[in-house]
Amino acid sequence: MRLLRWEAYCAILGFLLTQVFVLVPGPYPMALFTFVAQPLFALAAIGYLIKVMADLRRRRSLETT
Amino acid sequence: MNIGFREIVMVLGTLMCVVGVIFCVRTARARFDQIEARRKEVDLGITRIPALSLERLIAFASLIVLPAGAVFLANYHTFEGVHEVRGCASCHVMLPMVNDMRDPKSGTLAARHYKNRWIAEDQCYTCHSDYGLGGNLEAKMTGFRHLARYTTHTYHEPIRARVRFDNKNCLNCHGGTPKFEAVQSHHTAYEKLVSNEMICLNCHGQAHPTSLQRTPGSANYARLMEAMK
Amino acid sequence: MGAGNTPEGENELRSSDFSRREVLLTLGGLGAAVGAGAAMWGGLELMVRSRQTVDSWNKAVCRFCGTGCGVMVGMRDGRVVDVRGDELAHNKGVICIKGSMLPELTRIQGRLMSPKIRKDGKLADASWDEAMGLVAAKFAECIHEFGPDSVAFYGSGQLFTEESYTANKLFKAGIGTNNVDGNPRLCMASAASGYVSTFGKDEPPGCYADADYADCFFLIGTNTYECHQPIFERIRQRKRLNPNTVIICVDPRRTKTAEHSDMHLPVIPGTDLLLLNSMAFVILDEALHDQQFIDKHVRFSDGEHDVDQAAFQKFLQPFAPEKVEQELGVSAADIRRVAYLFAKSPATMSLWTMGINQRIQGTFLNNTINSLHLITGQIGRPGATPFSLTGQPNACGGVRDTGALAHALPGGRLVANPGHRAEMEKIWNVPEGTISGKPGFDAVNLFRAMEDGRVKAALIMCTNPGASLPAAGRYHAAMERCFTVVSDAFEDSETQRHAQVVLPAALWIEKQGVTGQGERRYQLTPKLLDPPGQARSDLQILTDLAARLGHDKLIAARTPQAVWNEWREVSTHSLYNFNGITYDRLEKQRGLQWPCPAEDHPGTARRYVEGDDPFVTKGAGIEFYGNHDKKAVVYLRTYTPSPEKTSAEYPLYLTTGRVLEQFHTGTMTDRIAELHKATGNATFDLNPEDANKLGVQAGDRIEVKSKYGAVVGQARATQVSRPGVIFAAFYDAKLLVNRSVSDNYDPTSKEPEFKVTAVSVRKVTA
Repeated sequence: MRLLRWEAYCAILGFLLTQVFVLVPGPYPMALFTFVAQPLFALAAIGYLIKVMADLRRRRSLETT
Repeated sequence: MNIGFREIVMVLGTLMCVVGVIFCVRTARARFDQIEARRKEVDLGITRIPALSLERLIAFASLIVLPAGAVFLANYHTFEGVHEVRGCASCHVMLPMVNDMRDPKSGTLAARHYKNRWIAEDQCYTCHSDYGLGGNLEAKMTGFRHLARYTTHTYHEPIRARVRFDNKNCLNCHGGTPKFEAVQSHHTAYEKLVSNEMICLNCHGQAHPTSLQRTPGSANYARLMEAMK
Repeated sequence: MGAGNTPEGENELRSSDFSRREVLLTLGGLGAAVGAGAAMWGGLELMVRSRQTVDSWNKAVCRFCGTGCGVMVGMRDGRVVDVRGDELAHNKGVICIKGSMLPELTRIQGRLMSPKIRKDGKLADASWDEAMGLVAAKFAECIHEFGPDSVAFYGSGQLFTEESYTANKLFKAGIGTNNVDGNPRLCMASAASGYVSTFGKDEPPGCYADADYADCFFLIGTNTYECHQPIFERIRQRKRLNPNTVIICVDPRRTKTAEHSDMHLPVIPGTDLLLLNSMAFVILDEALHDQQFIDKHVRFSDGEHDVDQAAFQKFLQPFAPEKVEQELGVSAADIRRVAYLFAKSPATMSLWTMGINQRIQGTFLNNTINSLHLITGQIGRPGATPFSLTGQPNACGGVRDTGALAHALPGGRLVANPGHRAEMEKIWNVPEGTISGKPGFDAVNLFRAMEDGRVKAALIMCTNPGASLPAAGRYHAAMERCFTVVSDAFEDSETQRHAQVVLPAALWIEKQGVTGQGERRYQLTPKLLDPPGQARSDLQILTDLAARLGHDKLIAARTPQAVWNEWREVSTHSLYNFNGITYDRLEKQRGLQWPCPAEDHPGTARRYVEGDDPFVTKGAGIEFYGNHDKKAVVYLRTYTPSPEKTSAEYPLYLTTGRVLEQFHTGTMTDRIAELHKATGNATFDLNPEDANKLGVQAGDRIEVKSKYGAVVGQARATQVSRPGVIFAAFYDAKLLVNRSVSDNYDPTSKEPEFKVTAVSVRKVTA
């Protein structure tokens, strides 16, 4: 893989929202965390895993023979 | 100073988020196909590892491990922090309930339980124990729905509960006690109480201020919105 | 905005952090995340919707007692799935176990599905046309041959107001007989005559909310805990918030109410007028009275002439506590204590029902309770009021206010008063002289008239006199002799067994109508279900009968709303004016208390009080405008022991009452499994000392016998009954206790004395 740009940017946004919530556990931070930050992290992780799988496939690391 | 889980979550969570941002910035800037060309190995003092491996580890940490950790810690607030009364009180639509509960002149069930200290702490949660980690899935879903509605202001005041209140919340403490057993009607209706066909409040009255009292503009509304000591 | 993509090979040591592509991808990621969040929310909404067990909540009124609790009826797929207390109604969301079982009421087995006519001794199904044709023909025949007074209507405090009003109008202004009476005669007549003679107008002046302000509750002749439970809960709530509140309970039995009271006075049955007069003695003797209030608002009378306060005080001399304690069964010290608490508490509220009303001296007892409030000024303020509790859900609104009683006309008028008759004839637009000046038969006398043939045809609706009349056995034969038509929701009552025609009636929310409960509050019950089989509402039955008897022009209003609007207009010609209580307001609000003369009037919480009551003259403060001199009357009421005083032959007192889980004769509640199981079969409750003397053990079958009849039932020993007193509830047809109960009645109110019968008890073997 070459880049993990948007995945990292999404994760950064996620961390920022999470940071706010961790310090200020009110309803609005909680909503932003639950409905936005968590999906952002999920997307970042999915993007990452897809790229890792593609990279491993390309390098034939997943073949058993 | 009282150090509880809440404070630990705040500190660790901050740590995780800060480290996470730093790592993510690094991950964003990394060009994985060109790292080996630039530098073969990194000297960490106690060992030497390939630079590519380091970047990959950092990427893994920043996109999988640290987010998981941060989410886990932050959800403490979501699932355990809601036990506390101040958690409920953080939404203004709940203020009438919280203020009424703390009002020694009020005769609602919430106020009476609070005034007589029949519940030591986390008074809201003790009766509404469906919320939080210990509650059932349906109750959690209901809680999240409330959160979405509240923060997007897609609700109407006075708010009303749409899903039934589970009598188990009453019976957990009151069921089987001598006073409970002494009342004939509890036996008459026992099956219906346990199956939630009939609600305890039918005989025992209001738990909280009525929907009318909680309507903005009504006579009691201003008084109920005033914080009680 | 960064520069475009750097070509490979150049600038390879530094990657451009913010190329447009990356920004767009990130924004896309953010959008996708928000979308995912929204999708999560959508999923939550769908989940919650699918978990709801109720489609709609509908405001209604409980079917059972006179508390008249507001309830919310939860409907799903055309069935009642839940009933809860209405938090916005006067009862603040509190109902009792019976109200909680209302969903079961809508599913009871044993509903009457078709009209029936008795042929060869058995009731056989018939069509409506056949049945109503027969009824109309029979009534017409009797009226033609023997005159209007040969027919009668016996109604109920459980019919809707529209129904009682229509029946009253049909019989009095159509057929021309005043033989219109009903089961409120058996329960509230003494309260009505008491209020009327004291204040000039019927109905409690206070409201249920007074219980939130009283400091002293004087409960006499009421087992409020069991029979008006939401009201007792309100009293207890008052005590929780104000621990200094005192609850005094006067009752021969140590009921659940007595157990939860601060003082219990176990008076000997039939003697409590001694207590009330004695309290009045103490209040005046120890200067606990409010002279200012008396001077301004009170007149004294011996029943025939006005007298002065000195005469009243002299009259009370024989009632000094030390002189009455023996006969009363309560110590002089207790009498003095109660008198002090009553007079000197900041606010005193009295509550009473059948223990006071169902008595030979019911009217006098009511007068004297009212008098105690008047001489102490404990009236017309929050928490201070004499409150007569009503037994049935619509005795007040449906029967007392509409004047559906043998001596009455709508709005407090009397048939014996020519001016009142002329007024009603004008209002109802019938020729002068249509309404008879002869009062009709009250309940007991009505059935006696059926017995000896003076009344030849009777329509009985929504009540079970076969079980609820005193000396019940006697009147079964009466119903068989007469052409008795019964309208009922359930099969096979003690009354139907002796009827010639039985008509299936709609129950509770199967019809729409207004009820008026104990605090003058009119509330609406909506129609939410269809009646089963061929059942119809009693209003439909009455309007059908009216048409068949040729009175369709008189009874032109045929829907509940039309009748209500007519009755509303009629009320404007009296002090019972509730013109402001429109159907629209009844639908939107949790009932309204009359007087309510205009649509913007909020209703009257406390009558005779300026500001609340629109009929009080400005500046008067408190004004008893029902009487010509605007004063209330304190009567000198002599004590007469009950004719049913115990003797060697009948050494015990039998008294009757209700239990929490059962309503009246049990035709509804005893058919609900949970309630039936809770009470089991009715038993005779006697004190262990008496049981011992009689050689009776718990579980033995005993015969309880009086001059009027004998009843056999199972005995239960309990400390609740005071020595010398035996009790049975009347919900069980298998223990028809009313067979033994005396049918002596109060000469003014004509209400029978259910509470005091001298009986003998013996063990029955096998």
